[in-house]
Amino acid sequence: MTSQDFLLSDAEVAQFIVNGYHMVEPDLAAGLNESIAAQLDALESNPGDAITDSIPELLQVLEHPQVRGVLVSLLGPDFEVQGHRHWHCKPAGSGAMQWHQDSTNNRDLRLNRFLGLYYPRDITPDMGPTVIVPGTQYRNAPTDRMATYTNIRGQVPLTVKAGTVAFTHYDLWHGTAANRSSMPRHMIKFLFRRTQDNDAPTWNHEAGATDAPTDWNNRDKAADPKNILTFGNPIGVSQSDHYKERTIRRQVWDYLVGEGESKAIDG
Amino acid sequence: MESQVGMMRDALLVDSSEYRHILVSRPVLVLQGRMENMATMASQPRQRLLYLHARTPNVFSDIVALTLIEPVPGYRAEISAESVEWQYNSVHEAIVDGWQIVQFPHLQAPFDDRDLDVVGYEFILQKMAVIDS
Repeated sequence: MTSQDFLLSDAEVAQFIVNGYHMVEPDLAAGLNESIAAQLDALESNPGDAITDSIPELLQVLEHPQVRGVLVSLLGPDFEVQGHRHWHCKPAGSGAMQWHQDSTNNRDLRLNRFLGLYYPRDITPDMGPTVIVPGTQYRNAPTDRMATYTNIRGQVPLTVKAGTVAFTHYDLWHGTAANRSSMPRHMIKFLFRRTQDNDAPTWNHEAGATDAPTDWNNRDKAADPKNILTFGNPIGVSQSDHYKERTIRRQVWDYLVGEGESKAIDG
Repeated sequence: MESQVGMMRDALLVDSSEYRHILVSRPVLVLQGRMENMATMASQPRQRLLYLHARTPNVFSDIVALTLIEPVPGYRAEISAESVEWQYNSVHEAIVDGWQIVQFPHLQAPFDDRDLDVVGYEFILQKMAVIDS
């Protein structure tokens, strides 16, 4: 099997554009997750970007066809695995982390980079999971302005099975719950980047994918790209915000299919 | 105690060398001078805070986010990974339950009909209560 066997569908790409995340459970080699988790348990300090030097088996996760299939679909075949990666260890008994967007609030409406969060152990609610807010990736909100939010309707705790990789839009609002378990919560963050603009879709695209009629009667059950992009409202934002989101989503979709106007790639 | 704390029934704001009356609509907590010890504080009403982010500036619109701040030492508002119990579905429901709005959403910010920023419209509410701690 190759990454071509695991390319995303039009609907999955549309869901990513709307929700800002996509999760896969790659069929990793037997014992790989357990081995990685045990090595992380034994680390005495955080090696930072050198985490893959300390635990080279992590590269097997990145090279898995299911993982590469997502990366090719969303960033093109020449995607780059950036040098920055980080072991996020949330020790037993550690507290919650408030909502934030990474970096400064210069939001990019093109889909040029995102994160891959790999969890080598099952994550239960008491282990301090990452919590994300679907659909917030297009918001230009300095982290300080999120300081009065705690729980947000539609937030999604990443309580996942061992081996899960969660791909999250770089600008998606995220935080963590407290770890009240007796286990450390491990997560390895990878950063991926586009190097080439698309001239054509790089996923399993079907011509006319967005030509379906607008279906006002099944807005919550939309399954085709057109209606997913049109009606998706994962946290129930206001009509004004929803209309703005529609416009942004369409720009992102057009960019990905190679028809957008925003062509320049950041350095 | 009676000389230090009283409840005023009307909205009032007075600031003098002897008294500082803090306007909180009703009831109003009147303090004279500085509190001498924490034991005295325990029996006085404290300000509970509720941040409600509503879908629109209308008090009847749905709540999209909620933060409750209890006035007790060490209290922390935390993101939960469990299913969240939403005490109120609208600002109006909180008002019915005795919460008072102390700050309405700021709508005077520059308006941009393309960009998106924070989620919802922030109402800040308070409820005065005597806390046993």
